[in-house]
Amino acid sequence: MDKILRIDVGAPGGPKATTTPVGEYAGLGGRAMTTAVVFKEVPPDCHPLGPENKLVIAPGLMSGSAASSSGRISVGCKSPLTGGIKESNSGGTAAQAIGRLGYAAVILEGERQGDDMYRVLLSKDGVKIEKAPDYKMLTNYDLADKVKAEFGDKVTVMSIGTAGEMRMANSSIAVTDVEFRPTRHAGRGGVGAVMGSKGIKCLIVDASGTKLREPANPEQFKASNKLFVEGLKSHAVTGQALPAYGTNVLTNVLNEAGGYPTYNFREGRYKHAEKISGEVQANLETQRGGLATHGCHRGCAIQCSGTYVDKDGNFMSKQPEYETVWAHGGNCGICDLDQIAKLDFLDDNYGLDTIEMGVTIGVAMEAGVIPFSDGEGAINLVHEVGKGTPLGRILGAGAAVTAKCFGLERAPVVKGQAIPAYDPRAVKGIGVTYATSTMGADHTAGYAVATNILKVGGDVDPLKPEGQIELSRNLQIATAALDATGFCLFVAFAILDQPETFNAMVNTINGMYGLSMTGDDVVALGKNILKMEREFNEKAGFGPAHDRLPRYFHREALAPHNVTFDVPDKELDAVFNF
Amino acid sequence: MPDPHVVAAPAAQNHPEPGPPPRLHLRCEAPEVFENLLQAGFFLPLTRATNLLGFLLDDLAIPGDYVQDRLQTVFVGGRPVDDFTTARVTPGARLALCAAMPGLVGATMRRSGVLAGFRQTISLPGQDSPGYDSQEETQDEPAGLVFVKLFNLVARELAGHFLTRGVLVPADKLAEHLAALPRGAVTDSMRESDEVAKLGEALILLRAGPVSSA
Repeated sequence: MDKILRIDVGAPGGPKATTTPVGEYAGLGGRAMTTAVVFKEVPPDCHPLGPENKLVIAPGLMSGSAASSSGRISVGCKSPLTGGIKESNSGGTAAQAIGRLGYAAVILEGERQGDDMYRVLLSKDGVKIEKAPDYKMLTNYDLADKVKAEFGDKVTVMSIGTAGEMRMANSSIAVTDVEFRPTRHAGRGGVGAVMGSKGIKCLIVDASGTKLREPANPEQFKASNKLFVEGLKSHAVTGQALPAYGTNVLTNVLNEAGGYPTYNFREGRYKHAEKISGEVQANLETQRGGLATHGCHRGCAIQCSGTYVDKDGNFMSKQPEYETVWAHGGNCGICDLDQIAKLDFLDDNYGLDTIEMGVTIGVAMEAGVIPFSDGEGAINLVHEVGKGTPLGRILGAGAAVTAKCFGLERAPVVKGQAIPAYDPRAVKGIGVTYATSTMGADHTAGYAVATNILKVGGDVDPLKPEGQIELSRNLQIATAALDATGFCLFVAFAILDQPETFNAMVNTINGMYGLSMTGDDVVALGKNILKMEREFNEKAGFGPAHDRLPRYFHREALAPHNVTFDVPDKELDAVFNF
Repeated sequence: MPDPHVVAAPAAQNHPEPGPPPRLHLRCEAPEVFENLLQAGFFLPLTRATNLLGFLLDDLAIPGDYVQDRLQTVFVGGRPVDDFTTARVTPGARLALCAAMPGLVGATMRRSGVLAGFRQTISLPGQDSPGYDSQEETQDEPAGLVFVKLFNLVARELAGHFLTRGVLVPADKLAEHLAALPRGAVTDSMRESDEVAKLGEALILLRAGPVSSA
């Protein structure tokens, strides 16, 4: 990955591609790459849909290699949803394909001319950019069918649906999976709208004729990767729970803990959670002939995904993730897994982030647009968004805008982005991360649970409340670093418990690049990423007042534990003291 | 206002006929087919108040190494537990047993995990905490019931253990579960599911296992 592809969408005669050496961005991948480019090349005060913004697509450092579970691709820009810097990442097949073609980044830049939509074709033979009038306002699944008819199903597609073309603040970029379905999404922050603003409907990536990227030190790489895989497979979470149930295994746990936001964050426990749990979902999938264990890209040792089918065995959607089942399920009072799977499919098809969409529907339910528990009504609302009706345009702008339009205080958002599936009143530590993350409310911003190994910020007593600020800080640093590698965040559970697995992961990177990185270097990388993001946001107008949860989380006690969010502001302001 | 952490068992307490509940024995080669039922919860008799460790090892007879290694996420009254020896189980208690879980918050819920501080205000108070009441340890509680949920891998792995010993479940929920099971999953039931359903919310003692133990 030694080159960068820049596409000037405003060039005379149509978008023009230029390939340059990676230059000053050498050694960066994933979030480190997207953040560095946005930080250096995008004016923080620009409009996210204006010509000064750029969309940066970057495979992780390890993507395209034989390293296990390294198929994450990062998408960065100034976010139309939050107004700050954004990195949103996805699984699927794109990271490996783009990595194998040698691109460290693909950057869409400039000012779109006219209303045409274009497709970008990447292969070992180079880059072609073509007008794609037939693709205009296609949904992601319809587009995949069209591409498949022309190119077969061995290529990879990164595309926007109708939501991205309409430049909705809640619009995603879809990535095809191993079955050539557009089920994987860079979902958060409205990255699809930025791609739409550049007039690019899709990237079609053909990596045929290329090989896996060669490691600098093959023996070290092979041996370390073997240990890494063994660590993933032997761990109870990555080797057993996730493959058996997927992420929705968390529904019962969060519900039992009273931290499962229900009815637009009014309660912490949903009386019908047992009907939409990961256990029930996995058993239903298996019973109907679907799959409860499945990888979103080749070479993943975890296999946390699945395939959800209807009662007749027909594909309905990929296995909905925990956050999706929560957002459309418990948060809206919907306990029918088939309806939730339908909503998941529609989100993927129109190109919408499932968390933002589900939370938005919860806000709309609170506003009385439809009643809570109305599954068919929720499905109709997503259609409204995908078709761009006036109501759909409001909902497609996200939860914060929807609450404003309907005159509600209760918008569960931070920096304009919907709070995910873990109530910050019950789990205050994640509330600290929601409040202070550079990304807006983001459950993955502090996910890489390796702090006990990295010792960044010193040892923290896990049972003392005052440790939450330090832990949140450490997690955000570790996560930023992991997001740069292309490794899936789910490897975090194995590296939390097994220092040898963490070391194997670092040594796999070292074997790939001929480096001798240590845990300290990983920490330094994470800190550097966060500092750039923080500075970008400050220049974009963000200050301490934006690092806060909505006031009602301090005021309204959450049942059943009757807890409020009471972490003092001064402590929140200390998170970025490093 | 009722304590939200205590689960009443009205069907059992209001059963018009004092004495043992109706029983249902099922022959079942794969007890994990009851996973959905076990994750929704069932009742067990509790003869005495005890600490959680004693309840798991003595009352439930779960092997010690399984308790130590597999039960990484445990709730009493909806509160994450860090110390099995100071957590108390009393009649009317609500208990959930679970393996190690993914996600930041999954890791947060783990017993004495690195991230336990993230959920400190909902954690079950430990012996050193202000909310801990040592006097309760010496009190004798009346016999009664405890409500138990088994989640994910624990439900699959301990299904046979619990179903061989017997669990109390509301008849209507059991009937619903039996009706949804694939054909042939259970055989020789003493009652058809619609007969079970007639018992309504009354608790029924369910036992299930291979032919030899049914």
